[in-house]
Amino acid sequence: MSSTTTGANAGAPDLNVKGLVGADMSKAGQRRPLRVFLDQPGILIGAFVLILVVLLAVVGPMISGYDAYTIDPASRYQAPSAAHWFGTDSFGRDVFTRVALGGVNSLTIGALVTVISVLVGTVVGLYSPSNRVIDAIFMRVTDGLISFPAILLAMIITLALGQSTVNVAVALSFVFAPTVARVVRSRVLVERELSYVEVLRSQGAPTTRILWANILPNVLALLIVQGTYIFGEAVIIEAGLSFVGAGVPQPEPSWGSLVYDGRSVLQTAWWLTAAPGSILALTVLATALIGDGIRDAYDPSFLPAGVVLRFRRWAKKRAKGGNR
Amino acid sequence: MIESLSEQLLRVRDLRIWLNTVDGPVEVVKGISLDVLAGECVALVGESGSGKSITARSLLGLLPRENSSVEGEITLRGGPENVVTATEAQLRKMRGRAVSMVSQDPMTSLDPVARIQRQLRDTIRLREPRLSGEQVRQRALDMLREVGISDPERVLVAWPQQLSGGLRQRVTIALALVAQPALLIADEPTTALDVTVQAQVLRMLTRLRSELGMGLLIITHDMSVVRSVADRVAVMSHGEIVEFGEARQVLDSPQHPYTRGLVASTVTMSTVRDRPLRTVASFVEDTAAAEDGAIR
Repeated sequence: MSSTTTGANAGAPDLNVKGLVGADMSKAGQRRPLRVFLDQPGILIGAFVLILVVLLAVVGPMISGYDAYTIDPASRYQAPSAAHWFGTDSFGRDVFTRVALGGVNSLTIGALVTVISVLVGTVVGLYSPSNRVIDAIFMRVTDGLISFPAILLAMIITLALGQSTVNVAVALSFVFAPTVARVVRSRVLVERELSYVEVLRSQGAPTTRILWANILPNVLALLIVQGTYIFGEAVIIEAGLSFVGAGVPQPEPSWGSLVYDGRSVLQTAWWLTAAPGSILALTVLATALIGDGIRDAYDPSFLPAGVVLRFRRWAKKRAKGGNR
Repeated sequence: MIESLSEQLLRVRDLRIWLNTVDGPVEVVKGISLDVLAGECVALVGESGSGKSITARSLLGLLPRENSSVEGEITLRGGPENVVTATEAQLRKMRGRAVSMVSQDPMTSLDPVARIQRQLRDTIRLREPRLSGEQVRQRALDMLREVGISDPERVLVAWPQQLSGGLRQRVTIALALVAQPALLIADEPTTALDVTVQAQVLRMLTRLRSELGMGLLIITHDMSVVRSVADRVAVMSHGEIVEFGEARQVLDSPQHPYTRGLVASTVTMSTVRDRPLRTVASFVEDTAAAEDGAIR
């Protein structure tokens, strides 16, 4: 570190040479967020699986060579084969194509719900604490929404709005936005009492700027984790809704309705439920892995990440210690 | 002591502050009067709970309105008529320019998720929104040099947690000085720092005060800080100012028994050898009860 003394402080031997936490400085400064994420095996595995599922949904219908709606009575209930990778259903439709197309619906709903509920929840959570009356009203409303069983609430809202893919997404956003609002609000209540906020106010920073430019970034890690969980949860609840027939309207496939279709022939044509069911489970597992990974990346004291770090350190030491 | 108003940066008359607790409002500041002249350093001393920090926050209008009430008159040069009755917009205009604040704990007074350059840039832009990116950067570098940071380029790209306590306190001081405030309120600026860094920061504050012609109100419970930087001292106890005068005079011949106790309880080189260190019998009973109530 340079030890040049500027004119201004020439008189006083200020010892700021010791100031920066030396050796790690340059390295830590370059440590990109992306790198932190890639250090988490859960994120890597989860992202890999999720990309595969998305690829299946997007590319699947094109490469399967079948149409998801074309009925072919001659080939009913065929087991998985080279011609039909996931077999066929009671109408002779190709299950692989239908699972892929169902994935488009399920993943779109998951993504929409995540975006809507995170946006709405963030705005409510950020502004709610700034006024006691508004805060009380918002929080009682969220209490009310949270106290409903999620799937029941989603069902009521979907049926009230009319069954469509977008309305299912809106209904599920009603379910998840309150949770986001609560989480954000509780962080805002903590953050705004911290001394840096008071310092910003003492410099004349407007409240809106403090909320969006200073407090929000401090809440962001939590939001990302919440977002991934919401994605997984939304996919599950949507499947539940479609399973009972309150979700994506027929004949459009969704993972939930596909499982429902196969339910009565479970013992003979197991692939009808196994294919959409296992893809659904994989997707949710992948998002949970990503969510956990991100949480650990932000909190390295948490055990699994700590173990990984320790292992890395140990591996490095061995590699360096060399060729003995 | 009281000079013409034009030389006063800060004029406080009969300031009273109540905090709302579950047991009802408790008066924590009981009609204090205070003034700070241009280029002067006034120290506000007293033990924990005597109302120093609450007073400092009220000068900036930072007390939350819903659970405190303030009465009296606070006038700042370049600020609104009376800070106590000013609107939030008036206060925002005043903060930073007429008066700015350095807080007690440098570890938490910087935004942990923003690099120093963003924090400085945001504060500079608050005052001069039309500066170009390069000009802002130059300004930021100048500010960091001003507070005695010799390698500002590196500090600029650092995250707060990469800086030592002393460096962080310098950065917060730089942030407070961006708009060239007429008065700087430093709430225990050195409490969280070790002794050598304390001395550096105090020296720097003194230098900046004379360079920028700024008034300084230091809040502290450390009599050695008072001795090294203050021109005048206001001794606060139990929400009241019990003694206010020239620093040397107050320290050398304290009039009020509380001040005498404070001065006697200062550690000096001869303390341990000659006599046991004295302590002050606590005056803070009501406020302790009030804090208790606040927690409940």
